[in-house]
Amino acid sequence: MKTQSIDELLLKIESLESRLADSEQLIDAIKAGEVDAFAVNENNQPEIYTLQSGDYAYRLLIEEIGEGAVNTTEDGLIVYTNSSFIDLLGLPYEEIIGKFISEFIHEESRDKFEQLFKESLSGRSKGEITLRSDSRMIPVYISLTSLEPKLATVGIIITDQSEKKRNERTILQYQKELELKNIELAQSNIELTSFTFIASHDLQEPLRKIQTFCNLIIDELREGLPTLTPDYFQRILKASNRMQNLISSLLNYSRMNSRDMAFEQADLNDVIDESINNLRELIEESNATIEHDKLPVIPCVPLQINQLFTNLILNSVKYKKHGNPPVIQITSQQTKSGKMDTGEQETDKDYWKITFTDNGIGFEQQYADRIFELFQRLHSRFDYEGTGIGLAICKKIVQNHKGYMQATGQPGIGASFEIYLPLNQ
Amino acid sequence: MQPHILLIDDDEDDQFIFLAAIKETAPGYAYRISNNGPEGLRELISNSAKPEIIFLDLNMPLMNGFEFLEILKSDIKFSDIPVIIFSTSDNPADKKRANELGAIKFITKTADIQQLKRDLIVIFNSELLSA
Repeated sequence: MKTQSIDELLLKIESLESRLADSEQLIDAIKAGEVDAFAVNENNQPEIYTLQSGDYAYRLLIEEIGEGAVNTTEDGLIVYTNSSFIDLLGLPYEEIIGKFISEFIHEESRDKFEQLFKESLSGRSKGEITLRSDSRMIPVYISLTSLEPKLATVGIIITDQSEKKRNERTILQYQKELELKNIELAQSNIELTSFTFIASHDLQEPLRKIQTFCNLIIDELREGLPTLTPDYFQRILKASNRMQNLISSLLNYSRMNSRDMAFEQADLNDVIDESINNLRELIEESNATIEHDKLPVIPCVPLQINQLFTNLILNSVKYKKHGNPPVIQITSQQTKSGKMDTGEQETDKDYWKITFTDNGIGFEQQYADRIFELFQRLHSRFDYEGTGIGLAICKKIVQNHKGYMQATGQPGIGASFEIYLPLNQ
Repeated sequence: MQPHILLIDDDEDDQFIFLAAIKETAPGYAYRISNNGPEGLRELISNSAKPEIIFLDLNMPLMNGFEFLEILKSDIKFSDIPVIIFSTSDNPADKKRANELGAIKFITKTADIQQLKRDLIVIFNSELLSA
């Protein structure tokens, strides 16, 4: 055995002491959880040992969890990210690590995030914000926890809300559709009530007349003095004509439902020309003049709009002033519903306002709403024959087009009907 | 002066039928006809003699029978005139409302003129009328 000098032994002791100190330091670091792995020189070859301590399960959890997990310095510099956050942003690891987290916050959420981050420095905070990655907006829920005093970092758990938001939007959309259906249902209930009323009043009325006059004819014939019988027959004929008009108008009204609406871009100039053409005989007979502006092209159901224009012209011709040929002026202008004094419309919607103005007998303004109601008439049948359905059909058609209409009248001067039809359906 | 009946009805046929029936059942009465509520009110105001009884249709343009009845009953000069509803309606709600507004009887128009005559005979022989 080779003897060693005292110097050699001292050197060896020094080296051993140094290795002991290194080892003690390593053990302290491992105890403190500061070491992920360490290298040991074996035969001049470094051997790497990773630590799989009791913490391993938690580390794996953070790495593999579906939520994004990020550690930042107290300035917001990202020092750790798990793979879920990388996937969420869809960016490479290098473009995330070492960057400020604020770079990935959408402008609209920046103030809120700063507030949450500030709050977290003295404990915890959580809230909904929007991230951005390139041009994508990612709604997320974040939970921030300061890891002070153990670590001068902030831990952030990020939950992707995209699907939740999508679901919320879908639910909202369904809710809106449901509300619309409810409105339609309420509307159709009202109509059903009107139909019941009509069946019990207006349709029964001519029928009762026919029966009454038949009874009177029978009485006269029985007495052998049929003096009034020709008059009774006249009255029966008139009542049955009225009945026929009522039924066909009602059928027309019921056909104007909001289902099966085939919208198309239609030039209203063509539509009005067709209406005028259909009424040519009546217009010539009454010596009526119809002037119209250049009308727009709008999405609509042309057949229904044709019916609308036809009814309005018919109305103006019917209620002309005695001895005064009807003059009907049709103007159009683009407008927003906000400008109009009506409470129920959306304020920012664009409409075409089409106005029919005539020089007829007009009406008292207090009846402006009543004239659109089914079977409401302002005149008795002596003065003006009619079913009280024409303007109700007009209103229905405009409603089918998600528009609305209103009337203004001045007795002895004329009436004006304003139709508001949306630019877009 | 001969007592008179006022009929307020916008329907020409019904006016005809009513007059045919009333001439037979109440021969001692004169009659006046108004085509609607406002015309009926003008008739009342402009005529110094009050009608003995008013027959009132419900479903009329401009002012319906209920509206007319309300105005009539709120006017001290006319509130004592008996009003009988003469309407196509046989709706219990209409009958109830007419009753609440002070109508004394409700005749539903039918195709049977004999029935109308019977109804009128009952009315003109009852103590409903002061005359």
